[in-house]
Amino acid sequence: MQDYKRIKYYIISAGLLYVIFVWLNFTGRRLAGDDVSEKELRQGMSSHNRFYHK
Amino acid sequence: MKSVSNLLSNKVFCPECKQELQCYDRENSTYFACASCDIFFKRDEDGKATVLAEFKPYRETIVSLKLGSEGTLEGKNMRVVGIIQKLDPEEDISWFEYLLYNPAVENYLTLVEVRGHWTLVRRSQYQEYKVHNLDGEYRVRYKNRLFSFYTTYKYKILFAQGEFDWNIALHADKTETDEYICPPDILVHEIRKDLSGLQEDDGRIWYKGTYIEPKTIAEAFNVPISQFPSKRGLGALQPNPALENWTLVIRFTVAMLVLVFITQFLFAFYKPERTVWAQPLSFTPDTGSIATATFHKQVTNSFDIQGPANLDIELSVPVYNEWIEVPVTLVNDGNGDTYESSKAIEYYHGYQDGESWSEGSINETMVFNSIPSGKYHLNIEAYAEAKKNYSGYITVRQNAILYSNLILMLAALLAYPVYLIWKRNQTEEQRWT
Repeated sequence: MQDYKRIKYYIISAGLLYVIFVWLNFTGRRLAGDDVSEKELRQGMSSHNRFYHK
Repeated sequence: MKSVSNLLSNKVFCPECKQELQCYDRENSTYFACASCDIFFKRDEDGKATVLAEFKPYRETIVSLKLGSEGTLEGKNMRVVGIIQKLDPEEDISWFEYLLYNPAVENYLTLVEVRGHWTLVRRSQYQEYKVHNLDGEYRVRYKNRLFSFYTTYKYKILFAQGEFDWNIALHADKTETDEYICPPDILVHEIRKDLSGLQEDDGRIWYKGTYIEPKTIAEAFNVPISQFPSKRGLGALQPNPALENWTLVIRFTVAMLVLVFITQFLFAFYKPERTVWAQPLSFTPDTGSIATATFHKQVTNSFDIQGPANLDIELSVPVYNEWIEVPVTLVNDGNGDTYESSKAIEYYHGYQDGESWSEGSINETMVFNSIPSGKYHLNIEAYAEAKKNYSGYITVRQNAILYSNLILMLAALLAYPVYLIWKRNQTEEQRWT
C-alpha cells in the first residue's frame, strides 16, 4: 500500500515536472536560472560600476 | 471436487491419557501426536498402540491454524491434520509446519510459517535436481531458473499434534535439510538418515515451495489475519517489496522519457536554434586605473529576436595567462529595457614538476532567459589586467537547446527508479545476511 502511494506521488510529480519542462522550453527559460544579474525596466543605457579584482 | 468435509474420521485413543484423537487419512496415518499429553505413538493395524516419544509440553504454544480446520487452497478443499513445531538448534529459529490433507491429493501439502512468513510446500514430482558449483556457489538449475543455496540445518521437534504417515520422531535430528531459493520459490532437499546415521535408500527427497501471503491463508481458512503472527524482517522467499510495482514504474518512466525527448525534438523543430548576430570584437584601451584597465565601449547593430526566447551569447577572447571581464548589456531598441550580465574570460597555462597544466578557457557563454520579441542591440564593455589591445568574437544565438532543463528533467524522472534499485539491493543484502 505504501509502495502504491509512492508510485502515485511519482506519477503526479512526473506529470507536473513535465508541464514545467514544456513551459520552460516554450518561454525560453532555464530551470537553473539565467545569467542576467540585473533586469531593469528603465529607459536608456545601463551603467556599470563593477570591477574585477584578481 | 472432493471435499474433506464429508470425510469420516476414525477415532483413535491416546494410550496414555485416553484422549480421543481424530484420524482423517485412515489408509496412511499410523503415527499420532496427542495434543493433550504430548505423547507420540504408533498404532498398528490391529489397533495396538506403542509410545515412541514424548515431546516437551508446549501448552502456551499458539498455533495459527487449529488442528482439523478446513480451508480451500489452490481450488482444493484441505484439512489441517497435523501440526509440527520444529527448531533449528544452531540458529535458534523455530517454525511451524501445518500438514494439509485431501484424499484427492497424492501427498500432503505443508504450510510452513516462520517469523510470520508463509510458504506452501509439496513433494516435487521431479526428483532429479542436480546441485552445481557455479562460481563458488552451490546452485540448482531448474526450468531456466537458478536456485541459490540458502541454508542447511538439522531440526528438533518441539511440539506436535495430529496424525502422520511417517515417524516424525525418528527422522528428527537425523534429517539434513538444504534449501535453495529463487524468490518466491524454494527447493528443499531432505536427506533422511536411519538410526545408525546412514542415509536411507529412499531418504533423498526434494520438495518445492512458493511464498504465500498470510492474507491468502487467512481467507482460505476463514480465520482473522490478526490471529497470525506479524511478519518479522524479510522472509527468505518474500518477493522484494522494492520491486512490487517495478514493471509499472519502469513502463511509466520509459514512456515519460520518450515523451520528454519527443517534446525536446518538437521544440527544436518549431523553435529552431539560429544565429541572430555575430561579429569580431576589438578591445582598445580607454583609461587606466591602478588595478584595472578599461576599454572603449562597443555597440553592435540592431538585430531581431523572435521571442519569447532564450539568448545564448558566446564570447571568445584569446587570453593567455591573464583575464578580461566583459560586461554585456542587451538593450531593447523599442522600450529601452536592458538585460545585463558579465563574464570573466581567463586562461592560465604553465608547467610544474615537468607536467603541463592549464586552467580556464578563452570561451565563455552567458544565457539570457525569456527575452520578448523585438529589435535589440548589445553594449559591450571590458575591464582587464593589462592595458593592451584585445581581439575577440561574439556570437548571439536564439532558441539554443536548454540542456540544463533536459538534464534536470531526466534526473527527476530517473530519481525514483534509481531509489528503487538501491532499495532492492539493500533488501537483498538483508535477505542474505
